[in-house]
Amino acid sequence: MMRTLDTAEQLGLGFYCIGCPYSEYRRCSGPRDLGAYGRNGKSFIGCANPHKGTYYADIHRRYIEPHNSNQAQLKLTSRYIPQVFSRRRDIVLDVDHRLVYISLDQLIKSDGTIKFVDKAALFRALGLGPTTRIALVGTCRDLTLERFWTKSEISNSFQAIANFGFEFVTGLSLSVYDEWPLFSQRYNQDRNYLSHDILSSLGVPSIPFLMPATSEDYDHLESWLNRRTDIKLVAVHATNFTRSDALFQVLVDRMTRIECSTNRHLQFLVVGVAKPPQMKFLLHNFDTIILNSRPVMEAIRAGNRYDKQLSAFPAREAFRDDLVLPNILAFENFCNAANNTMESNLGLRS
Amino acid sequence: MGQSRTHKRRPSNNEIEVLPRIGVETGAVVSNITAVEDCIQFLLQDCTLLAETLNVGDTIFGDFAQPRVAIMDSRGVIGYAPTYVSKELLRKARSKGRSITGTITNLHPPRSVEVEVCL
Repeated sequence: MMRTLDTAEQLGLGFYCIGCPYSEYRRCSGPRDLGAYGRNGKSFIGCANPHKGTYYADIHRRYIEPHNSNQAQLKLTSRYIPQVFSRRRDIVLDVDHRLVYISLDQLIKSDGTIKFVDKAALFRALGLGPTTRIALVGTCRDLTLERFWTKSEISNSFQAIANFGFEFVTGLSLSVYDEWPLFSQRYNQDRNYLSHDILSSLGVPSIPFLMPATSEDYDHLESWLNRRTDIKLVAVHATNFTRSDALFQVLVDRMTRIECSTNRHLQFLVVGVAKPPQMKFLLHNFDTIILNSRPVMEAIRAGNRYDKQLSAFPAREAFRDDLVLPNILAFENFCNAANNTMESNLGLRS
Repeated sequence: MGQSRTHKRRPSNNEIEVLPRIGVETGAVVSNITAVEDCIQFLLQDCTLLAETLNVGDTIFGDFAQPRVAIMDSRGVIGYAPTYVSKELLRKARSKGRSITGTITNLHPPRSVEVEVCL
């Protein structure tokens, strides 16, 4: 049986728990792993960090009331949304009416500031037509994401993101690692939640990234969602849960627990899953929209084409750009068909 | 890239520095304080909307956000300790190695809050 953080025994409150805000406000019942508990490092704010209160204060010093997430404005009709990348700027890729997305990594520089002055500049870099529907997913390397976070207020970065006019924006996806101290896990989850609230307050259709790991996290998520009753769409990160059946089951278990955190129906944006059996499973068992980079990446980086079963093979087309739309179609048809099959089986289609 | 993972260890040779946000600081206004042993009572400055939802006896805690100590409850910041109170709290907290916790002692609607913090 896989031993996850939530099945480990509670060790009780420790020395570093005294005065810890997560302990005082019952978000944490103490460590489960003594090794993680005492761990220190620059990459995370650990339980043993003497300045952890400062970091907690940073995310709570300016209260952002829960705003309407503006999700009711969204019209997401497809079960698949592809990620696009920069290509030749002299050829505009026509993706027709489809919604595409970019990751935060593509929008910001390594110093955490935004690369593009406006949407037109972004579209020129991506080689997309000016009327393309585009969304932003808050996935990014942690190194850059931390720099973005640090400068977000003084650079007014969230407002700048809102000004791009993305069809939707997910919250940030700061990492939550089971091997890290619990303070760092909760601190990053809280920053992800706060980023959603900030974006919502700016009028952007916002979708929160959810990364609960322990029972206390799911309890807090339930309370958080109960104060934001308009949220129907949530995002989860599937990367690193797709390498094995056992890890994939962890993702499924966590999505199931997220579903049970609230009485209302949730739709999941699952980012980073591309194996056909896994996509099919998620589409059959949850209300899911799949997001990945595979069709565009295989086209422009490898010159591969996908068939109906989503097997990739080298293509004969001279221009790799010509492979992008057929590859997107292959994934789109696969995902929509898988979802239609599920709905038929449940008798949901007339 | 953000994710929740169960098994893989994060590479230790790829350290990232986590820093709080660089924010805009505001000025302070002097107000009266009363010191009893290691407890200090004072009026909060720059109270937020949360101040309108408090009750006498609610638990609060403080944190060393520069230049003033932020006073908050589980939902967020209620207000700030005046600068010279913040300095006193900081000095006492460091010498004793403890955190700042306290209670709401008096409320004057809409947003005047008196607290007592102890070390």
